[in-house]
Amino acid sequence: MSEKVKVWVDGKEDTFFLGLRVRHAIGYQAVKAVEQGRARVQDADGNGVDLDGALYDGERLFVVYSKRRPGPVNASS
Amino acid sequence: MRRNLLAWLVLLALALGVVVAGCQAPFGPKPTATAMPPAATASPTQPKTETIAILHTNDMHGYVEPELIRVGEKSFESGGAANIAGHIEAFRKEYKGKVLVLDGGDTWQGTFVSNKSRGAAVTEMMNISGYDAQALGNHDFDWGQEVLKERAAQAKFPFLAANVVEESSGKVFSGAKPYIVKSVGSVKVAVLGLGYPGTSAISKAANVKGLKFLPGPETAAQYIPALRKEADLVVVLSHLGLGDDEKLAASVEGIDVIVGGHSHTEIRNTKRVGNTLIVQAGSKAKFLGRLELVYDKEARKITRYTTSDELLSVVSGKIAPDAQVAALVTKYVKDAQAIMDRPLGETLVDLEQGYAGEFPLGNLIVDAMRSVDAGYGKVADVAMHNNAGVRSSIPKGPITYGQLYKVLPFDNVLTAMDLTGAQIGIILEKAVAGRPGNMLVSGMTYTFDQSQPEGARIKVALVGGQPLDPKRVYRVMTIDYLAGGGDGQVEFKNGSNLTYGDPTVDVVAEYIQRHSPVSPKIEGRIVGR
Ligand SMILES: [Zn+2]
Repeated sequence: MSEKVKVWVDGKEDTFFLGLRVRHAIGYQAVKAVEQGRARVQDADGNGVDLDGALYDGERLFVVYSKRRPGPVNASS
Repeated sequence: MRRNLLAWLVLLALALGVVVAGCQAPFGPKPTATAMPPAATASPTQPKTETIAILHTNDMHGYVEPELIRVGEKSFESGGAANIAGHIEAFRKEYKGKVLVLDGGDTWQGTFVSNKSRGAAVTEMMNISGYDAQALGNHDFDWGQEVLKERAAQAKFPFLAANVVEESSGKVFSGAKPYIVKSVGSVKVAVLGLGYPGTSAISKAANVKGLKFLPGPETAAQYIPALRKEADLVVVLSHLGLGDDEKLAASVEGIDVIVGGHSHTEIRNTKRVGNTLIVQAGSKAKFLGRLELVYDKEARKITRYTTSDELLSVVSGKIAPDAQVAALVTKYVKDAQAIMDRPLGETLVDLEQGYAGEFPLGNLIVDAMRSVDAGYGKVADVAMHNNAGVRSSIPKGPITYGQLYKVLPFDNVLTAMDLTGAQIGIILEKAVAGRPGNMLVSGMTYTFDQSQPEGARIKVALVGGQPLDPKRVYRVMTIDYLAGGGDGQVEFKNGSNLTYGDPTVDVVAEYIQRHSPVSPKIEGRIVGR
């Protein structure tokens, strides 16, 4: 198994060690925004992904900021 | 991992939406079912069909405690083991017992409540909920194989991991079974378990000693032809992560359903790859997945299945939390408080948080990090931790685990890697590019001059008293946050031979216990202007 995984964050390709998590890929500011309810992380299909989700090779992540401030995460999406 | 106070805001927001959804139907929106083409001979109205449901969780990570959400005067609970149990029970009634209850692994590790009992609390609650099987996730090995076997003995359901084998015999790990076959109503369902193939690469070596984690598709291909003969439906209970679940579905014939985990993906609309359905229920006991399947016994195939709204937000309200599980949660939460109050030792000096450069508390942290095995049975040459990751102070006197947890609140884990001297040089330059020294060090010293241009600010760097050799490979102990390029320290991402260790806070806690009373000092490790 490869020691590293290729991941796209908001369309930008990046490489991370196997075993790292979504929070490591999206950056500190985005993590803070998610924890404060101002943003959520989605995959390519629009599924929500938790900050502690394990990164996998080929994963495409998007940080989606809420328009409302302080923005609640939409429970139905 | 452990609950972040900030997450409360998120949950409050989440709850507002959930309340609205909860008013519409007790289980949320009714799932949409779709025919599984081709289904020429079958229709959902024919009597030769059987309707069953797979109820599933994954990556609960010890989150047995619910969040209390307040909306104006009212409040309700979101998530937690008692609400999961209540929902499982309600579905059991709705489907007249024709349910299969599965968990995709990474079940215990992650909260004080669960960690205190090394997962026993979660297993006890899953026993009450009547789970049928659990896959073994990578984190299920975090307390070693003996603890895992204790959990296996405690569980009234099997752990499944066909691809986790003992190196010596090639047999499936003795704490698990490869598969089960169970009758759900009149449908015989085989459930094959797959652990995470990369577990050895991302776990402490001692925890997985003597075990091999085989690729999922290879293992599935071995078992599935026989399981297809034995059962009507074949389910893979997987901790591969969504990406590898998709590859598995595309490469191995004969899998009807993959119930997944590891990537913590909230798959609200059932994913289909070829003839295989893939579901996964997020993480941290916030959701219960419910995949309704209509099986045609004559045609021997699934003719309808849940396509949308497969996940249910698990909230209290119309479905009452299970009282027995709720009582257990209360008991275990009380027990967990003892962790925060646990005395570790004493400090003879005030341990102040330091924004930049060297400070005694910082030295204590990196010294602790350099005191443990860095992957080759030896300690690292150098330990590095960012100043920005040290978040609180401890006054002179006794130290509790709770105080230390406030100092290191990010649940980072130790991460060792090989870096050349040149790479360490790049990291140090980055560390002095902004604040005057954002990298605590043990095993080395550095001096810098911020009046110099970027890239030429490190004047002297010594490892073990010797000049940093750009070509030499050093073993460096750091944290996963930096290994991921946190604080802009992207050079860590170019390291090699990475190994993971214990949570940083636990390593420092043990170090304090071993060395109490502690009195770290400023020693001239970082000198700058
Ligand atoms: Zn996992």
